[in-house]
Amino acid sequence: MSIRFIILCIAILAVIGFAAAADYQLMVVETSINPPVLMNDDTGIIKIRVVNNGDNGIYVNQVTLFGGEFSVTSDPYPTVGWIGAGNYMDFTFTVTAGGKAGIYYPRFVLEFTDGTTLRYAIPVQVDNTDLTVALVEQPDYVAIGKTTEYRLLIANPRPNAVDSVLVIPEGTGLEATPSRQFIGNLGSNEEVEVSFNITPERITQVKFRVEYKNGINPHDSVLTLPILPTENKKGANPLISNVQVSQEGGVYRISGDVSNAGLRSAKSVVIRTEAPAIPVDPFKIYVVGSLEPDDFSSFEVSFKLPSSSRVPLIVDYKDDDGNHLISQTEVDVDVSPLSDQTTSLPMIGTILVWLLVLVIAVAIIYSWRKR
Amino acid sequence: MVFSPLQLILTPDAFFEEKLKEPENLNKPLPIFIVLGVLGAISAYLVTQVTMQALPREVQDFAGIATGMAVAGGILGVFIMWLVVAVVLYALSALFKGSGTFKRTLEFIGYGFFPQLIGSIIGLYLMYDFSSTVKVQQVSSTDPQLISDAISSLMNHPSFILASIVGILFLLWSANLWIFGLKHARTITMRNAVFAVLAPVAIYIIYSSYNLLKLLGGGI
Repeated sequence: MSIRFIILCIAILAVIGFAAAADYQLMVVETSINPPVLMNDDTGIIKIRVVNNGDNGIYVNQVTLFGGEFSVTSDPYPTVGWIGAGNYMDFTFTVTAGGKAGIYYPRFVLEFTDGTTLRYAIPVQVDNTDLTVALVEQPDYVAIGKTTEYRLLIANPRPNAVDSVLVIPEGTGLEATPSRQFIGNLGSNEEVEVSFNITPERITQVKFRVEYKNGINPHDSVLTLPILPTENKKGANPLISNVQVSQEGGVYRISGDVSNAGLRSAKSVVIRTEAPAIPVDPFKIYVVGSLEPDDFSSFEVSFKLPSSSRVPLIVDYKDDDGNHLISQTEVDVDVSPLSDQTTSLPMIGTILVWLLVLVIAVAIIYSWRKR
Repeated sequence: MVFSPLQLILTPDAFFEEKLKEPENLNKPLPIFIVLGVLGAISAYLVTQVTMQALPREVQDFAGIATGMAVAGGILGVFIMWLVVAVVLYALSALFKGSGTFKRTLEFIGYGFFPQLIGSIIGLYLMYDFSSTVKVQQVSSTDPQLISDAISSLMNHPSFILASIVGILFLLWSANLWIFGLKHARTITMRNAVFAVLAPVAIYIIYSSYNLLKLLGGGI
């Protein structure tokens, strides 16, 4: 009985002794957070290393992280146990950042068996700065169906690197090549340039979405650009002049000159008419071919027209990149010259006919009476 | 007996009765056809000039030949017409047991062409008006359909239509004279002469009216 009592006393004394020693021998030597800088609502992992620099082991009862503005999503360590002399122990907590940008101090607390504690404030930075997407160069000339290049600059103004950076062009009524570009890791204050070829099928807008990860947390930045047709200052400019309209037996013809008043050549130039005109042979379409700057060519198209109206004269051509472009001119076509000739007999003609009918009838009747 | 146009027009029955007493002589109606031939040639020349303007340049190289053929056709056409009418009426009157000679029929039918002189003078004036006022738009293609359409559009001219109507009216007048002429030349009844003359004339007039209505209405 006395031996048991003695052992128990020794043990109690030993524990009290270690606890007292803990105040001086146990210390936090290293903390780390991943990602190093959080964004609002980001989840991060805080790792704390505690070292026992004393000569005796220390019994740690419970380890807890108090987040403050952060919410700690992982459980505390309820019963840690002994940390031997010269040994260290790592503690890991998962936190979710809250609040505005700034530096916060979640508290790391070790509780010993005697009710004493070791407290340590861990600085954690929250910065909500996104990656920036800037348009470096856009085409001078945008046209429906024409492929043009857009160059973007992706920059990381954050204090920490981000991973899995991916640039994706999005939008309806357009085709983008490549469909996405992978950048990967982008360090703090670094930038990278990417380019995309965009072919709009109509007036639309393109969104360049930059997706990235801050630790395990996905984020994105978006740059939206409208795609509106613009005048091609340097491209081909086919113009129609010297227009003449003629009519041959119900078939109308528009002849004239098509000149390239632009700075680049127009390829595969084809001239045609559209409704209400009904193209007919021999010149349903007129193929001019290539038209160099300041060059011109004669053309002729034939069509039928039910009534006087404006006939759209379409010039189809391609630029140096093979993009199909259209230029349109309207020509007034008057069908009245035909109708002038198909009117009914003039008044004097009608009188002449009736006069002749009368004279001939009188002569015939008279001749029959005198037989 | 001296040829009296007034008697021919107003009392054809008496005119042909008197002529029957004279020997058969084709020279007397001949001047009618000479004048008709000249008038027809001039009209053909005017129409050809206009028509050639509408045709493609390649075809216009043959304008001289075409004009010459048209003028020759204008002159010879009236003589051929004289012969054709005489042959047809002679044949039809044979159905009614007509007894006169073909030469007499040819002579009397020839007199019956006299109203055509007046009709041709009016027709010539109308052709002149047509040639000077028609809007000619040249066809550059040698496509036959296109050329046909172009010529058809020329025919829509009011003077051309008027000339067709005048032609039909004077044909009726000539038919009246042919009835009396055939009656005496072939010694058939008046009723049979009317049938013999009006049958082919009616067919011709119906055909001409059909074409005329197509021009006026764009198709029937």
